[in-house]
Amino acid sequence: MAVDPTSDEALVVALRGGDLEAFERLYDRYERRLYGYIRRFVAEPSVADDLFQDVFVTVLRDRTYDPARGRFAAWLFMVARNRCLGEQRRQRTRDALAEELEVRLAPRPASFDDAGRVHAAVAALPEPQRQLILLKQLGELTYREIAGLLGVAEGTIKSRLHAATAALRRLLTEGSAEG
Amino acid sequence: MTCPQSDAHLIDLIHDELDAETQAELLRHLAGCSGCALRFCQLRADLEGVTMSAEAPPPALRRRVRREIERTFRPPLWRRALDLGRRPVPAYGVVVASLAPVIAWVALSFAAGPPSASPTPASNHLPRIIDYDSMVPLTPRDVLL
Repeated sequence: MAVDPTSDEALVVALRGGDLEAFERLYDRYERRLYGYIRRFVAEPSVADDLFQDVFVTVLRDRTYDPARGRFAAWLFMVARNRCLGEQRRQRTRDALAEELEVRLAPRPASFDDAGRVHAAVAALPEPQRQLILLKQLGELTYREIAGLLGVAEGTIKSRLHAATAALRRLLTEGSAEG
Repeated sequence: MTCPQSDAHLIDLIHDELDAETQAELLRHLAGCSGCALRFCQLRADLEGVTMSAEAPPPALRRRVRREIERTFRPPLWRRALDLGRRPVPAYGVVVASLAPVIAWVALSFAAGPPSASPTPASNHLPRIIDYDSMVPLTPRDVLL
């Protein structure tokens, strides 16, 4: 089967061969999705910057990833998720920071724009539901990939995602009613 | 397909995770049920909102990441030189290169000036002041007598 030369996996192979243009293309594809994902878990921009760089560089340098055996996006977001959870754990050990995080991620006043409204609604979701929605929307992972990542059945992912989107809709509606 | 059944599949339709048969059935239902169609649109807008509200990283971060990547993946100097040599030369490049000596010759000819039959000093063409000596001091002269 012919490999699409513009696919993520082909670009990873090209980058490993020294083609730095492939890096630019991968970066363009993932900068917003990956950074957006990280920022939903890390409130401090400088920490998010470091985490983003760490994840991106680690994933691209990692020769154990075989592009022939799995999608790049699934690998990237698996690493990102693990790093974000690790960072969250570190943050929780610092009392002051945990308190600050709560304040920053709390729903903002009613006068802000749609992006802020969605941001606040996502932030208000319980952690597992937030993970699920972000992995699906920003990571663009399949049900199967998310199931593999979280170690649950595909059907479970489907029903949980259904519940998560219903909760998101509820939060967005409440946000609009308050606004 | 009933409305509750449709509702359970809406998110799968958005994520393109339905088999062809269920998808066709759901689309038929949505075409005839305005309530479910509206819920589908709301759901899609909500999820698109999550994607659209994703924050972009600061531009400086790209340079930082690129530097790190270059350290790992930048090919050695000999390889880059080889690649430069292998790079295809565009057609206009060949034309410009072949015309370069002609352009240079024309430019030099213009700089040298037009050839003349009898070279004469440039001072011969200038008006001359006769009996003027700058060393002699000026003496006042009555002009109006």
